[in-house]
Amino acid sequence: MRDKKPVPRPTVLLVEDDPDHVELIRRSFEDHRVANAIYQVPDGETALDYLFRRGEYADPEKSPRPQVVLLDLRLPKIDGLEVLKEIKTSEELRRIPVVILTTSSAETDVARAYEYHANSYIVKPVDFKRFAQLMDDLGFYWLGWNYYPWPLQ
Amino acid sequence: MVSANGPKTPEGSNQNALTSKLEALGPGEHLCCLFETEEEHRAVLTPFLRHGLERGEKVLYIVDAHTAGAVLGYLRDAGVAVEPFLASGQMSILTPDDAYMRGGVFDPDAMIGILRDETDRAVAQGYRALRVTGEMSWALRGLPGAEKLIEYESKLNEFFPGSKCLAICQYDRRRFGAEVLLDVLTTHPLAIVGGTVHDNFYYVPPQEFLGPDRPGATLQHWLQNLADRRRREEALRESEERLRTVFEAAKNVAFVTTDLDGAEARILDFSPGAEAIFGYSREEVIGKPLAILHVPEDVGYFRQVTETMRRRRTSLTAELELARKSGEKFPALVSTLPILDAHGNMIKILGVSLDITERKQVEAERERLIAELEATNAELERFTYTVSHELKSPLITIRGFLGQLAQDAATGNDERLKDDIARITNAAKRMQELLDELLELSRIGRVVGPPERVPLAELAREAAEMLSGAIENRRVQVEIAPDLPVVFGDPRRLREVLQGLIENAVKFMGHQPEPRVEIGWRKDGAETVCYVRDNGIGIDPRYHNRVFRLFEQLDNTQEGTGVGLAVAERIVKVHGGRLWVESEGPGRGSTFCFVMPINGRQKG
Repeated sequence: MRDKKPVPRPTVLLVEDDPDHVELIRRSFEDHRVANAIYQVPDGETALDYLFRRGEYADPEKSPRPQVVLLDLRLPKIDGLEVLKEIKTSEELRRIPVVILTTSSAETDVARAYEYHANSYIVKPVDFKRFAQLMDDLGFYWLGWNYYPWPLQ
Repeated sequence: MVSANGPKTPEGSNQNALTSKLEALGPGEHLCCLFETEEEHRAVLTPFLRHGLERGEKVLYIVDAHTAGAVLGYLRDAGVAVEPFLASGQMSILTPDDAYMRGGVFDPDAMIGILRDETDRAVAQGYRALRVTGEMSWALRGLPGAEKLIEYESKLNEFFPGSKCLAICQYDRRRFGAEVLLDVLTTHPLAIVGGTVHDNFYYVPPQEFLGPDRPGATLQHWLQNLADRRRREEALRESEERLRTVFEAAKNVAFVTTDLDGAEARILDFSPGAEAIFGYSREEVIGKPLAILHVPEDVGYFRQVTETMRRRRTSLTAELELARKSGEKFPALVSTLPILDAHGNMIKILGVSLDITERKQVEAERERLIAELEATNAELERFTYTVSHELKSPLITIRGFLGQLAQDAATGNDERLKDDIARITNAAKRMQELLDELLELSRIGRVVGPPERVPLAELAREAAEMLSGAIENRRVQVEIAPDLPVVFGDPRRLREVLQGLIENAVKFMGHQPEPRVEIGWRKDGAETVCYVRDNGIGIDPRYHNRVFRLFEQLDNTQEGTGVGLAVAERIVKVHGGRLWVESEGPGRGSTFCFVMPINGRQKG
């Protein structure tokens, strides 16, 4: 961890609807002691409510700006790409790094994600060891190496 | 051939035809011209002389009955300035004394010798050829040697072929007797009679004519010619017969012949095929303008086509709309062909039309099928993609938690161990269910049975029966309208639809204290709409379309693979109907509606 960034409460916003995957990701981050708060929401609508601080998330204390958003594409209700588009076209939110974390390796999905200015695109590996390594790397890269826009109030 | 009807006075296209034929004459030709009137005489000689002058040939005219002035007058009247030609010596007018009677006696061989010399001299002088014509009336004056005239004419046929000389021997029918003229005909390969140039049927070559047995040889020749002519006539008749057969027999091809009368081209002939296609009888259309067969917008096009063909003599093909007698328009493939006369002038136009309505329909159908196929393929692609990802997710879970399990076993974390195993088991179960539902879905299209009468009320009751457990559990009130319509379809499949819809309704009651499911029907204009209505959690209008998608689940907390609605929709679609949802939004309940076609027609 770099010491030049005073960190109020660094967060990862995980937008993922599969509870098993959520659990895998949580455990991975814990195991590797990337001690950041993971905030999980199960669908796109809730994710946008959180980011735009609407409804139950109106209180900024309840919805701290994430350092990075891990976004699945296959979400119920609103499509993951829609969420990406909303974030990246919003003046308020577009600077937040969004990493697509999904099962889909389809070229069209990758193309469209970058079209809407995704910061990165990761395909969930099936192999457990690789999955663990990925979580490692994600943590170190986005929460360790990466500079994020400051301040994030 | 002497025309039995008397001489034709050349006029208009006849003159053009004659001039064209004369134009085709070249060195080596030996013709006789039998004429009866001054007009005939002028009509032949004027072009003959003019062509020679225009082509740089040396022209000799031997006058006898006419004066030089008269002959030159022909040319002057035709707009030819004769002075320069006379001055340069290209044209000369002679008398018989200068030519035939040179030396006072007519001698065939000597005369032919003179001709040969004159030809050579002309060529030496730079002329292309020697063009000679002489009025043969001098032979009637009983001059010495004149009796050898016919011998001379025959011998000429040994000289002319291959020479650079051509000649027309003029014979005035008013002066010469039939006997002589008969011989004249026998000694000239080509004869100009009645304003036309003929291949002379009666010509007998010199070897035979001047041979020991003239009558015998002549007879032989003419009999041969008769046989040849007979054969040619047969061939022509057969050819015409064949064409006529095509014309008459082609029932789905329209042959329409028109004249070229400016913009108002008139129908001259109308084949039986045309009668069938257009609906007019032949009598009705003969003489009428061709425009009656065209749609008004295209009349101008036909005018254009005629012009183009007139200029370029090619045939044109295009797809056009034509009109039947009934006024009905139809698409046609139209070829327009010029009909030429012997000289290559366009005299008529033949239109060959095919009614391609059926072909167009087939093409349209094919386009439709291709589009459908492409849509199906796209759907299949999406389907495959969706399925593979739906299966990938639980697989990640299984492998992920196997890894976790190993770790937890190593560290002896029993609580976590139990959790890991549970998750793995559930994920595997989910995959199993997914595969089962997929199989079910793929069978829908093929397994729909033949349509039966299906009373929906009964079916709804059966479906509710099968779900009695869940219904009781959730304490749902189920009402089924007793007068639900009777539809035509596969009862098993339709029951599955109702089951799926009722199951959904029960599942998504949310916190509703008085859950109710109503199965009824209503009239929507002409359609009878059946519905399964609940007062449960409802569906946000934004997601009304998504609920029918494969594996789509708006609420992950409920059990079920989410395939139920997709299957139901497919079943209804295969029956030719539609399934959709109406809901004002969260908390306002949902109504799933479907219509079925009345006649039980099924789509594949």
